[in-house]
Amino acid sequence: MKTEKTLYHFLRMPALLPFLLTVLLIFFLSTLLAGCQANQKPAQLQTLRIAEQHGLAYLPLGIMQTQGLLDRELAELNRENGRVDIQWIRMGNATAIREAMLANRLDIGFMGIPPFLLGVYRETGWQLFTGLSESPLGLVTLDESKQSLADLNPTDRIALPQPGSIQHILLAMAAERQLSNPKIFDNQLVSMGHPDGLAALLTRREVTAHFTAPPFLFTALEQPGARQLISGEQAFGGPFSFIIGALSPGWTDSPAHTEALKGFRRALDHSLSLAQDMILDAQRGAVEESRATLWQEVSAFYNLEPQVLLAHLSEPGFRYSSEILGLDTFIRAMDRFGYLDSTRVTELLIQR
Amino acid sequence: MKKAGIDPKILGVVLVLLILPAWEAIRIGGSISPLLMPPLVSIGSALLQGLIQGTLLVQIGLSLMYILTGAGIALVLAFFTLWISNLSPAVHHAVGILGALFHPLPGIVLLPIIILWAGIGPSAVLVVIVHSVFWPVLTNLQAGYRSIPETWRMTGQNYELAGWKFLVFIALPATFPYLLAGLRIAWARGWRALISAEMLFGAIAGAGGLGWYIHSRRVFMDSPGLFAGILVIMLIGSLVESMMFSLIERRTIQKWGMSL
Amino acid sequence: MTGQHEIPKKPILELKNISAGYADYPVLHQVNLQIFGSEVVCVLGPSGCGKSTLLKIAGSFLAPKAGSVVFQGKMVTNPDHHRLMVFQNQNQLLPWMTLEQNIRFALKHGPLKSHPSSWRERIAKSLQEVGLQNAAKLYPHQLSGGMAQRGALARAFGCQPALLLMDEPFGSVDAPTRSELQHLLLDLIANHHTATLFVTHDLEEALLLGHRILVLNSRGFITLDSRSTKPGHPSAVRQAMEHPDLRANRYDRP
Repeated sequence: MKTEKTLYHFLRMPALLPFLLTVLLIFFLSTLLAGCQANQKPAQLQTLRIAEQHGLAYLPLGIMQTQGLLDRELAELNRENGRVDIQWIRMGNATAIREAMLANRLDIGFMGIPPFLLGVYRETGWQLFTGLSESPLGLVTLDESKQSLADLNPTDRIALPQPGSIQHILLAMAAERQLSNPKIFDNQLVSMGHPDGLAALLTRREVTAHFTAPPFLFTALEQPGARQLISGEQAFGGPFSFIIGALSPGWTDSPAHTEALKGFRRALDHSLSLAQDMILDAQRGAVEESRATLWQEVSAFYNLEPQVLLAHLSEPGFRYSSEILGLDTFIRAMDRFGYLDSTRVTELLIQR
Repeated sequence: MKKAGIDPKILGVVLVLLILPAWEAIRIGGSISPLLMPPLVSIGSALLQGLIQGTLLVQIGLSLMYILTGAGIALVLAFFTLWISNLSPAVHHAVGILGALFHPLPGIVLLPIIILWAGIGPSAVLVVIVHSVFWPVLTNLQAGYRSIPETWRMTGQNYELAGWKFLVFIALPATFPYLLAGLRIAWARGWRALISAEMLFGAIAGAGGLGWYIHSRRVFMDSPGLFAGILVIMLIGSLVESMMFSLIERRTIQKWGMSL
Repeated sequence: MTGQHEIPKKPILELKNISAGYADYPVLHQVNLQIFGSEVVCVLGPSGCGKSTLLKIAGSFLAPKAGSVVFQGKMVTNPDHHRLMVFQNQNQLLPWMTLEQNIRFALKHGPLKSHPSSWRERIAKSLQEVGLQNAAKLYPHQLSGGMAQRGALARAFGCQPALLLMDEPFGSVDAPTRSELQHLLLDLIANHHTATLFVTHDLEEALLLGHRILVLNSRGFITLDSRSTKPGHPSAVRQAMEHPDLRANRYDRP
């Protein structure tokens, strides 16, 4: 047989040896890959890697960093080896955070509820451990002829961070409520980060509408002729947590991890209350003297003038809290839209 | 009798047959998360589902339509430039200098500028493809044109073929081996540029092409779908190379004994 | 080969005071040549003497630096299909067309532009004449060197040109094939009465084919053989062999 003969030649080829070696190497590497996934159970916590994103919704995390709150709380941990090395990483979108957590490069990640739920549904084993913020969100257009969602034509492009983001799910919920079709806009989405999306909106020709968050939302609304077609709260039908904190499945019940998590919660509670105080200052329109340094340090951290930050935080809709609002509504909506199975997700969430 | 060795086709089949079980072995042996390395079965079913439901087919069609349109525009432009640069040596040199500057630029590098100038619509994707296709085709056309043997040129003149007639009846077939080589490079570059552009630009006019498909699989953490998309891109890439280009080559320059 | 045929008085091609080349390297200097209908003029000469340049000027592929080309009584400056070139290069058939298509291509763009109905017959006839009727569907790269040159002859004679310009057309084939091709050309010329300007460096070839043999050197033409001579005449051969210009030349063929 011809094939047999060729196979015979193939097996006798000198190239076979390097080939086999390559296969062995792949196996070796895969064992390493698997190893780095499973063997992350140190007795001591050496590093803590936390990922956040851009925007005012992450204000408490900014406070935590500028005021060194977490460092203080974790000072007693990992005494033998010095201190816990705390790494803050700011990432462009939830997908990047999810992937970094999946690759075991992160311990804690902050993101919107829908991207987190998609991760839970895909059995990443993440735990929801805290809420962080509620924030104004909105779909903004600069086109005078668009008065409502119904005015958006199939040729109008809508910029938002990405499909599956909280902005996308909110748009679908609004479309479901007002136009009875949650997927009506799915084929006219443009995946853009907030700054790019805003720039595209301002050209008044690339995208008709932009679903965004502060401070980009405020800039968009300041434009002449700007109109908010729908707010986040209108789309959702009530208040909801915009950003939540997720814990990577590497976290265990070990004393080191438990202590670290407790420390993180204490630092977070502290910074949440400071953030709420800042909102009070903003609503009054004046900074209380005891918080003057805080305002300065946080403004500098975000590269904003204190006056600008004050103006932004005086806008209604901000609330910093560890409370988690609207989880079930998101689960049910995303189930209806076909992005996940609510029973399975609820099961997975309860297991933790 | 061929040289002792192995038929590349059989080697290809053997390789694939080895990679597939190796994939499964690594996945199971290393107990690697299905999100990092999905089982082959789920990749296969994602692929099948995408094809049956038509979503994947629509995206494939869209991507191919983009690249064909872009390549068509680039080809017309390249022929036009060749014609112009034959008329004037100054233009010829100018085009040569521009080519040396722009040819090495990956289309994706130009994206930020293209977004500013052409926006984020289909026109931007087309600009990226045209850029990727135009330069390799043009430089190859020029090289081919320069190497047309004098006998063919004189034969053309003898039958009073001048101007566009000379280009169509003598220059085009005579430079065809070069054109084909240029198109091969152009395809490789254009296809990559297209997928990257689609991943960046998002949905355009109803659908977004294969790049968008992969992007959306990624944001929904649909790893099997992601790998299915990658598989489709690989398959189309090599099908076009091994089927289309080889077929054209066999039907033309090999049949004519004109291989470079 | 029956007797000599009548040669008209009026030249079909006239080269008047042709000069070519560069200022410090003149290739042709005030060359004059007349070719009369249905005569074969062979041009011999050392390599680099300007034989090929002369042919290109005769076909208007190259403009002379001075002088004029008069074809069928008119000044000409552009090539046309009444003065067809046959090259030494075996690659002269266009490789992307079969032999048959090559001839059709010539007819289509040449003399039978407006008579597509007569192409098929003409193609068959010219293939028949060169004995390639069975090779019609072959591509040029599938032909042997001798066949390729026959094909080139078929393409040229199919167009029934008034003048053939031949640039050592049999220079790159082996001796037996060359002899075969030479006799084929004699037959073709006899049947078509085509005037021919034939450049070669092979004296025997010139003696076999030419009604008139000219030697081109830096001083212009030297006539070796009168046009009253019948091709292949023994006295002509002897006369030519003894000519000092050629005797020297025979040792430095290209």
